Amino acid sequence: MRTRVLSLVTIVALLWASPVFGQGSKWDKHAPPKKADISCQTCHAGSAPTRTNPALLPCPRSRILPGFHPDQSGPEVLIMSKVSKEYGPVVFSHKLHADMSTMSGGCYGCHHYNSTSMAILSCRECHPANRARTDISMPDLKGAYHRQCMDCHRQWSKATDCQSCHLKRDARQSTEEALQAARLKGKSHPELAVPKRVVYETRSQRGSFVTFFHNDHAERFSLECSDCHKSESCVRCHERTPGGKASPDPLSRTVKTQRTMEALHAPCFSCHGQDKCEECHVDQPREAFDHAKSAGWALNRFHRALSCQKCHGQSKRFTKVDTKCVTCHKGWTPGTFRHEITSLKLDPAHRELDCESCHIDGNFANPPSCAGCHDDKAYPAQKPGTTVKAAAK
Amino acid sequence: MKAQDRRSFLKTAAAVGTAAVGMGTATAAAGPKNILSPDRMGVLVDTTVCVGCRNCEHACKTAHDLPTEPLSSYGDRSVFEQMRRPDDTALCVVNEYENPKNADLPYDVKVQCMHCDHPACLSACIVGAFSKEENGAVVWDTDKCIGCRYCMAACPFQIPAFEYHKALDPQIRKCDFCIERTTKGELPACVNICPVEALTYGPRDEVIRIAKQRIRTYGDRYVDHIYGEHEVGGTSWMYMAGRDFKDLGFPKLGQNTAPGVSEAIQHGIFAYFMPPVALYALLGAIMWMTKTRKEEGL
Repeated sequence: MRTRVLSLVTIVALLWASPVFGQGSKWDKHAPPKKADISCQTCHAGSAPTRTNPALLPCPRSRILPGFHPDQSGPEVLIMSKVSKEYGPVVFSHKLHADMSTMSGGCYGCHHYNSTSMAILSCRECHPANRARTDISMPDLKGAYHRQCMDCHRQWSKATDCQSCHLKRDARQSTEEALQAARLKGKSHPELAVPKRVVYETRSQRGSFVTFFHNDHAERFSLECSDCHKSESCVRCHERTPGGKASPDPLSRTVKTQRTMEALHAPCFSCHGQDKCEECHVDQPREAFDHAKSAGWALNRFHRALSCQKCHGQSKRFTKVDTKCVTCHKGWTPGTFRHEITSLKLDPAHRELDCESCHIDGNFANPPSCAGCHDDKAYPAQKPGTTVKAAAK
Repeated sequence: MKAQDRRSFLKTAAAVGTAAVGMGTATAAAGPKNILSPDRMGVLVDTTVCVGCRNCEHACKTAHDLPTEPLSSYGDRSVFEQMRRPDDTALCVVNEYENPKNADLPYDVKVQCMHCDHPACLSACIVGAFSKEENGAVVWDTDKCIGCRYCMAACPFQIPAFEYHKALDPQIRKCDFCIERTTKGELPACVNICPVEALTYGPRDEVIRIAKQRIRTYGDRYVDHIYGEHEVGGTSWMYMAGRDFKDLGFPKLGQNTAPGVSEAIQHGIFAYFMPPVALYALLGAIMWMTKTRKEEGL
C-alpha cells in the first residue's frame, strides 16, 4: 500500500514537471505588457501560449508594446554596416532622430516591437539579413532599415539617392566615418520655436479665419507637444525643397488649410466639440487675448502667473469674478496680510487698521483713499509707510 | 537586287515546307512546354512601399547585358514626368503616380512581364518558341523565334518588345524572370537589389497569403485587391496598391485566361477537320451540279 502511494506521488510529481502541467511555471510567464490596450491575444493565438510553443501571431506592428528606457540612455550615434554591399556604412545620428521623433510617435515609430524582456531589441533580432529565405512574412533587414528611413527622407528631401545617407566605398571611408560620427556626437535637434499665433485661412463659407493662440493653449493647459502633435512629418516645418531648410517665420504665420475637414478639426474637437462654428470661425484674424481689454482689469505680475482656472474655476466657459481680493484670498486680515508684497511697508500706525479704512468698500482695484481720517493727505503723494522692493509672496 | 523568279521561289518554299513537316512530326507530340506547377514562384510588388529609386531598372539591365548609365544617374526623378513602357532596351520600368492620401509620398509602379499562368504569347506563338517553366517563368527560345511578333499582339499587357532598330537578327525582348539567375539559386536581379523590399519573391501561394495578411492588418493603406491573383487566370507577378489599379496604369482585365478565348475559337473551327472537309464537299457539289447541267445541255 505504501509503495503504491509513493509511486502515485512520483507520477503526479513527474506530470507536474512535464510541459502539459508546466504552463504555470516561472519561465513560461512574463510580466504583462505595461500598455493597457494590449491583451495576450494581440501577440498570441490561443489562450495558453508556452515557451516552447508561443503561438505568435504575425507582428501587429501598430499595436505592439514599446521598449522601456529613459530617453537619455539611448545611443548617440550608430554605425550601420552589416547589410551594405554596394555602398559604405551609414552613420546614423540616433539621438538627433530620437529628438525629431517626439512629435511623430516617439521611440515606438521605429522600435515597434519589443520582447517582454524589456531590453531594446535591435532590428536584426527579427528581420533576417538574407533576402532569399523561407519566411517572407516580414521584410528582411535591408528592407526594414530602408522602409524605416525612406518615408520621412522622401518627404523632406524629395530624393531617393543612396549617397545622402550611405558613405562612399573608398579609401577615405573609415576617416569619413569617424569624422561624421564625431560631428554628430552630442548633437540635438535645435529646440523648437513654439508658435504664438497661427491664423488658418480655411475653406469655410462663413467666417473663413480661425485664429489659434498656440502658446495660450500650450501654457494654460500645461500641454506637452506630443499631446496634440502625434504624427507630424518633417515637412511641416522644413521647406519642401531639397536640403530641407526651415521656413522663414514659424512663430506667427498664416496657413492655408489643405487637409480633410475631419483631420483639421480632430485636434480641436477633443475640447471644443460642443462649440458653435462661429466661436472659432470669424471674418478677421483675431488679436491675442488681453485680460485688461476683455475683463477691464489688468492682471498684476502675481495674477499673470496663475492659470485661468485658479480664479475662474474648472468650467469651460469662464464667468466674471469680482475684483475684491477677499473673494479669493479669504484668509487675509490685517494681522495676516504682509502689506510689503505690494511694495509698500505700512508704518506701525497704519498696520493695525482694517483694510477698508483705506481701500474703500474693499475695492482694491481703485487707489486707496486717505480722506476717511486725513484732510490734508492724499495717496500717492503721501504714503502710509515706506516704499520697499517688492517682496516675494 | 534581282527578284527571284516565281518557279525557283516555289521550289524553295516546297523544300522548306517538307522539311518543316518532317521536323514537326518529331516534336509535335511534345508541344511547347507549358507547366503550371503548384510550386511555381511569384513576386509581390507593393506599390505603397516602392520609393521609385529605380535601382531595379539598373539591376535588370546589368543582368541582361543591356547598355546602361551608371547607377548614380538613376536618382534623376525627372523621368517620371512621362509614362514609360518596357521595350527592347529596358525590360522593366518604373512609373510614378500621384498619391491622393499624401502628395509627398507618390506611388511608384514597376512594370514588366507578368509571367501569366496561362500565357497568351505562348498560345499565339506559331513556332512554339515560348514556354512556361516549372518556376513560373514565361521564357522563349530566340533560335526558334521567326520574328512574326504574334506574341506582341496577343499579350494582354503589351509586354514583348521587338528590336526594330536592328537590321540583322532582330529579336523579341521581355523580362525572363531572371531564369539564368534563379536556376543558379539566386534571386531575380530586381528583387535582389530593391532597397525597401517592395518586391517579395516566394512561392506564389505564400505570396498571396502574405498579401492578404497585409490587407487585413493595414486596411487603410491598401485597396482590397491583389492585381494578378485572378486577372487573365492568374499571373506570377502580383501587385498591391493604395488606390484603384485603373488609376495606376493597370488594364482592367477579366478572370478568363487570355488564350482561353482565342483558342476556343480556333480549336472550335478546326475541330474534326471541319473547314477543309466542308470546303471540299462544297467544291465537289458544285462540280457535280455543273457536270449534270452540261450533260442535260447536250
